[in-house]
Amino acid sequence: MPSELQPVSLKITQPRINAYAKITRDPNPIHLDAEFAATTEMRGIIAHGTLSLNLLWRALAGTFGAEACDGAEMDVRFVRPVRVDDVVTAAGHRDEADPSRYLVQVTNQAGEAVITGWARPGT
Amino acid sequence: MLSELLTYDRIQIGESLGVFETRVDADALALWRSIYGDDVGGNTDTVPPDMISAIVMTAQLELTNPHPDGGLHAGQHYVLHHRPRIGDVLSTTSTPLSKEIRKGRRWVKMKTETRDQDGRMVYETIVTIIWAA
Repeated sequence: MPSELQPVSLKITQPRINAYAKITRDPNPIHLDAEFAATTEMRGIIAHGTLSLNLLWRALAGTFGAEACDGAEMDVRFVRPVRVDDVVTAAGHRDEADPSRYLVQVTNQAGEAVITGWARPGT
Repeated sequence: MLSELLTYDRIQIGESLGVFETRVDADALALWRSIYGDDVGGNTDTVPPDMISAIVMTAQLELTNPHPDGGLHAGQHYVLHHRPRIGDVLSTTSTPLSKEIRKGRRWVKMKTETRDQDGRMVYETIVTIIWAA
């Protein structure tokens, strides 16, 4: 297995958030309504966490091929919100303690982790 | 859809919330590609693996509807058993596994299982959510 996953980046724009809300049928105003979002503990619109998480699956598929996702496992935590116009990058490197899996993260343009966890490709 | 707003207090551990059926069709794929661009990894007639969380999340949201606005996903654990084929009918069940209040936040874990029309397991997920109210 390669030592690193092929990184994947995406700019998180409001139109992308809107499209994701449509496809997931998720009208949560914390993603769509600036006035409502400002009243929450997030103090403004945040993107769906899984909008960025999906990039980790794309990194896995891009590195190994989609067929290697059959039997794959992933465990992640959302550790920081993603804001409109953030550029996020999904990446991963082999876990020295468990070479069958990768330690993965999604970072924002400031290099801050927004998602952390691990992923194991299928066999 | 549930008859009452599914607040934290109404969540019953171990009690299935039902089954939600969906199908990934050409329109859904086109919308998906408008967000992420072309498929990666040589997808042909199978659902892109990166759609797993969207499929599970859609089902989980529908099965808990109506629920209080403002909830947040805190974590996810996925097993992708098999990529379903485009056009497969996917049936997802959701069952609350646990709930607890920590530091004033309402933490809920739910297990989802997604099967195709032949009964074959395609996805298993444990979703951790901070319930809004």
